[in-house]
Amino acid sequence: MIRVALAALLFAITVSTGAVAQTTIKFGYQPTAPIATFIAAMGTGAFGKEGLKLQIENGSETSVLLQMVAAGQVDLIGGGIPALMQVDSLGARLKAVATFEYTFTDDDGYSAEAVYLIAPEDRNIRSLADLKGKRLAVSGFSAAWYLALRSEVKKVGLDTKDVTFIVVPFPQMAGALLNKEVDAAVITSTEYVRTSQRTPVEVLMSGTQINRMKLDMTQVIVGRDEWMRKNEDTVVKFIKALYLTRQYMQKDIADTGGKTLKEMIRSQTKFDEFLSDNYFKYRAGYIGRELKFTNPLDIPKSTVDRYHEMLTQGGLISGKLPVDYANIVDQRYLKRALKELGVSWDPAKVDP
Amino acid sequence: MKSPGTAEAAGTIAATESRPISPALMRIIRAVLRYYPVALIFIIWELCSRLGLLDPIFVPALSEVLKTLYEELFVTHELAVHMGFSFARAGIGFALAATVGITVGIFMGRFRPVESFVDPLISALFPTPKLAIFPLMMVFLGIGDASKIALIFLGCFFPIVISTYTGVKNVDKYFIWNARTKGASQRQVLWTVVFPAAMPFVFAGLRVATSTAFLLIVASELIAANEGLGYLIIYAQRTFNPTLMFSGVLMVACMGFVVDRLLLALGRWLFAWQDKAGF
Repeated sequence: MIRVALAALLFAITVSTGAVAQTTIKFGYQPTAPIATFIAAMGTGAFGKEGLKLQIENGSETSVLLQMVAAGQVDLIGGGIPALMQVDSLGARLKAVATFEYTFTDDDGYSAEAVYLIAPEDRNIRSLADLKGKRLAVSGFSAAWYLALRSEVKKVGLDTKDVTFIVVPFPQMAGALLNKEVDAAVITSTEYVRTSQRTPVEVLMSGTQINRMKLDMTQVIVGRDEWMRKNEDTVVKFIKALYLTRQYMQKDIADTGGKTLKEMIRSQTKFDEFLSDNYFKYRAGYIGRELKFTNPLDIPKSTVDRYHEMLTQGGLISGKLPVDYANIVDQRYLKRALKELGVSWDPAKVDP
Repeated sequence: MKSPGTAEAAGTIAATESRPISPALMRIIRAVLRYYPVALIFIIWELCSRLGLLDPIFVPALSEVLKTLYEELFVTHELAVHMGFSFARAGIGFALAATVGITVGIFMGRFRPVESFVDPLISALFPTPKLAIFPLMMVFLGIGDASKIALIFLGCFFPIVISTYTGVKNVDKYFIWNARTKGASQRQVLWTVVFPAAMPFVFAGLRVATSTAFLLIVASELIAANEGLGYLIIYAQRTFNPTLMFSGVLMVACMGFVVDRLLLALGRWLFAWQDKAGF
């Protein structure tokens, strides 16, 4: 009896010591825009292996998460670059340190597009100009595609007020289109496939076409500059966990066609089989292909420059502080993480 | 012996002391004294902003907010447009709830079969948070005005119907018997005895419903809308425009306050007979 009690005590001490050794990170995440790398990292316990314990705080869109991180409610978040620029211009002092998820169509025609601008065929919308007087669903007012579209519609001679932008969460967009609550939507690639099965749809543009980029990022990892400088080791560990997860994903795709990944997607997102397969196809199956253009997890300067140009021209930066690449991206953590993992940095891939 | 000058001054002071303060001035003084905590909060807010104690990304200075409020209301009229949408939705939902709620409440109070049919329904549905069923309403009624008006209708209906029912039930039986003794028909009793006697309760219900209407309209517009004060607040928050966001919040607070005060004044005017009768 005493031996059992002692063993239990020893076990408890071991467990509690292990728990103390872990560093807790409060991470802001958008569950309505799931990130495959994050799903796989949670599935494989990648953060735990790096000594990190993640406390996940959900947010509805990037602007909400940016305000949470700026206020010190969370330590790191996954969010879009345009909203980061907007809030940094007002003095938020946030920095992007690594890419959370890429989106692109590669030279072989492989589509890793996160979103498409679609309209059911019966709405007679064949081009951006046809959006005049129509209702367009977007996921949020801080979403990159919404901000980009504001500029794009102006280029075809429309005023932004000619199009009624309505915020609809991604999971409800297909229903809103089918119920004729909206005429067009910037919808996720998976929901696009699902919608197209129920009604013929016209694809007006892909996400990267809207943003006019070769390689775009749906989300990047953002933190408070001051906090990250004080917790450099923690940030580096977080990035290492992301990198190692992507290595694992690449291997799973190569070895089993992503069987384990698909299972993780299904169990964590609660998507049905059809949606899980499509999510895998567009948002997970591409892992590794982005390395043709960029260094692992890097935030390409050209993408940031394009966003900067887009927001500046559209008059969408209200603050006075500079928000170009040098001011909003800090590569030190990524470079250190890759160096510690023995991954080389290819200068030729810095600007795809 | 007093000098003539001193006597004159004393006379002037006495005249000033005896002169009554005008009622208008008294009302202003009373209002200032009554609402000084609000003014105090505003002053503290402005001071904290000016001293750099509040991060302008989250809480801008009150003066900046008021400046934006003025511009949006009187120069660009954007705020007025959004206010119009919110008022229209809240007004329609409230009017529908008042019409149906008062009718149902009277019938419940007067007719036992209606009471036994409706009472369990109210008991079951009243505690349900109305906002929780808003996503369901959006599915059936869409993301346009209909779902918001339906939400306000539901939110306002219950306090109105319960107050009306309570009012009707509390009408002194002697009044009714007296009227019946003097030959009044059921309809006459309803219109000339029951309804007027229940009015203070009905009015209390309407007052509670008004604040519910404001609460729900803003909440529903925060969730899904393309215009209205709730939309403006969430749009400003999501686009990092805190001055506009606070302008919207102040506007909602002002609207709620003004409408409540108007209702209170209307109530005082309508039920002046209560004070005179010593009820």
